[in-house]
Amino acid sequence: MSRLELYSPEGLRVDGRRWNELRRFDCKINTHPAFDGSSYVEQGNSKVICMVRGPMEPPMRSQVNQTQAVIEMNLNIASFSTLQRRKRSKNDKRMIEMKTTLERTFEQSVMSHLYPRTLIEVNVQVLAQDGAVLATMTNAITLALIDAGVAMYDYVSAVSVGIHDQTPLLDLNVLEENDMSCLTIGVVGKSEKLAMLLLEDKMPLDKLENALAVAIAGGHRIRDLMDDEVRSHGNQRVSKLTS
Amino acid sequence: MGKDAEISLNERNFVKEGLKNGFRLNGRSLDEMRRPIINIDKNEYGFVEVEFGKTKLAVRVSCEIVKPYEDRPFEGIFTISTEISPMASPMFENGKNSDDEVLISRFIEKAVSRSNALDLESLCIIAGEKVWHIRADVNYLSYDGGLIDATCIGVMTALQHFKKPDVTMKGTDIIVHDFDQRQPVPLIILHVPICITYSFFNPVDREENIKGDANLEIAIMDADRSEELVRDGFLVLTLNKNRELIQISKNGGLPIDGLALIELTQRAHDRCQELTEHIKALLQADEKERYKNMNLHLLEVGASR
Amino acid sequence: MSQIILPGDSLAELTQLESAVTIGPGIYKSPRSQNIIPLHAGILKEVTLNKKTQEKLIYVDSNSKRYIPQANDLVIGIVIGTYSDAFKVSLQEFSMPVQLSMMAFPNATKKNRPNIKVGQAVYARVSEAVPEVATEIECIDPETGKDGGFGALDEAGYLFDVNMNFARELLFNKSSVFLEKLASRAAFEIAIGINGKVWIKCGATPDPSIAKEEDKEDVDMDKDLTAARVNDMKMTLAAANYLISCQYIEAAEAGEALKKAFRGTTKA
Repeated sequence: MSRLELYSPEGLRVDGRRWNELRRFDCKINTHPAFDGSSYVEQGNSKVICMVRGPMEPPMRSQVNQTQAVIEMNLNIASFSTLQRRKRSKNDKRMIEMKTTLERTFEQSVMSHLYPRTLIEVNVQVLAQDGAVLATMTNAITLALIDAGVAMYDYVSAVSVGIHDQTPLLDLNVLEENDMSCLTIGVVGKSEKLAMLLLEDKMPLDKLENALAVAIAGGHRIRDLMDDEVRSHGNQRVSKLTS
Repeated sequence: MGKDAEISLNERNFVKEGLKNGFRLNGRSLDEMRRPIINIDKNEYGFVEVEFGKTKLAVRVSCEIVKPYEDRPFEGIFTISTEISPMASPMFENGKNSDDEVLISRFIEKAVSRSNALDLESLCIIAGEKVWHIRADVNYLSYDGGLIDATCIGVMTALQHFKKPDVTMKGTDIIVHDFDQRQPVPLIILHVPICITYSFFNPVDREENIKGDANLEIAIMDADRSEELVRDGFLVLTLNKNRELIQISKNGGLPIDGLALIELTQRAHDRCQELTEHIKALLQADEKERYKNMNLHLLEVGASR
Repeated sequence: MSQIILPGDSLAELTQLESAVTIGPGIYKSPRSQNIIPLHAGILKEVTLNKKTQEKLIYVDSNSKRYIPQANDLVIGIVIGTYSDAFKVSLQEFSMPVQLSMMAFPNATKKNRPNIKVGQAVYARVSEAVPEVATEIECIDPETGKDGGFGALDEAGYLFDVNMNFARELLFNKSSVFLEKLASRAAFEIAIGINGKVWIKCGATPDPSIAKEEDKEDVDMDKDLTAARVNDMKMTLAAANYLISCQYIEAAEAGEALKKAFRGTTKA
């Protein structure tokens, strides 16, 4: 691997951030008028669009659940989203894993028992990957579901964290992600409860606590940023109503 | 897991009520694992059967010489096939991979291949030309929960036990020696990952789980079939005895407090240590037995001379 | 008398008998040749139905795993779905579900539907079992029109599977000691389905959820009730474990198995 200096002695990372700084987090909701809910999220250079349809009547009988809503995720990763152009098939094991993870995460945080016999269809389109794609997707889905007016218990905000030597680094970009073990978490609202926790590479057992603490704090910050966007969008709409 | 698996409300209630009151239907305590019974084949290398209560599986490791991948000319190839046939339980369908089956194969892949448990570079014979391809085929014979844990133990035991034929070079040709001609060589295992699965249950309602501070969620180790059907979420931890976390997967499901998760990893580490020792002891016993059966002590006389 | 019989064996000597012979499960009479032939491998059993006429019943007893519904069988099923006017009930895992009409309950009318949730267990009678059409079961005694002991089973009981021949043993073998032994240790309520499902419940503590509504203030009472309920659950489980282990043992070993299963539970 390249011998980049990922964390300089002065405490700066490759892109000039400190260890506990998030990348630029930019989000918009209600971007696609054709859908019931939609969002666009940029986390650094990772870009994700999410579009939600539903709760609606399921087109297929097999998707009917008598007691709660069924959430269906369709993930699509654009072949131009990485530096090297590469087509990812939908049946790739990694894609199925991500899809199942997201479905099971949102099954718990959406009040699905309020919408029995319905389907909530979530379409995710990844436009650019620059690390922490799963986290960006999670945030985009949360925002789109809120925009669609689906009842939820709380925000699910996700962020990744890595361990470099002894220091935890928050919100990794793709260069950092390739060179260190990366932990992705999905935290529920302002609590310390984790809906999602994924680690794919080796990490010392004793570092986990440290990394989790940093990640949870980062998750809460992202939640606040998303909350700001949702509220300002809400206010904007209300002002249009009254005028 | 499977679509058709059905469980009566009676059984569901018993599992949940039991856990609320601190006992499990199978009589185990909350973080008690079933004691795995590992049978190592006496006659050949790399065939292992694992029993976890009623869960049974057989792992066969085999090897062949192939051309390496273009982008990795110095590395051997390692594949694990974990297709679950309906033999294990009618809830698994042939040829149709359910989401859970894909997850199982991903967990094993991440735990074993991705973590470099098997040293791939040592499998190279001629760079870019010939490398060993090691295959681990897992056959599931019976299902009663805990497939991931059992598979990982089975694969790792079989890999440690397996020996591939010795190879010598003669110019550009290679000679593969028969087991009778030369002692076969074991694979180089860099570390032994152990998977531990925790299943989560929510004793209260969903709102309390998300909004409350009580953290009443129950975590149990090594769930059996009925517990797997009732559970609200699960966590797969993979660790080794060097206090390294290799993989963590909590794919959605019941939200769990961060501190509680850290405590679980610590407890899992103790179990991991026990299991690693157990496997090691079994392999050593097997080695001793073979040494005796093959009369290898006759060679010792020559060695001391 | 017991004799192992296989498909292909001859039953000709039995047809030579003077007296009438009634054939039971596992034996087939060819309509053309009027010969009777065995269908299953198992033990051939003969029962004399009438001493005077020497009328006999013959059948093959074997331990098959798959349950094939027969009319008038008493079964336990799990409700796995609802249609507009019927429940979908599973008698055995991974087998064809059967239908339980909502009208097949006592006092059921179009307006007054039985209240049964998905997942609940029902004790019922197979009312129609023709291979060509969907099998139907009912929770009503056809003679009296009353419930006759049929209906939804209490959720406080435990439901488990046993071998089908063990279920038959418990149901029909009057000299079977297993249930007697169990009765010596605990008071219990049991329902046995011929399809190999057994429902059992020990003790009679009221359900804590119902009790709570009655007196919310009395916390001590509540605690006592929960403790009693937990004890009942443990007893029920022990009883279930005992019966499961009984499948593989001789009658003489029943006492031993009982002791083992009930280890650690307090005497009721």
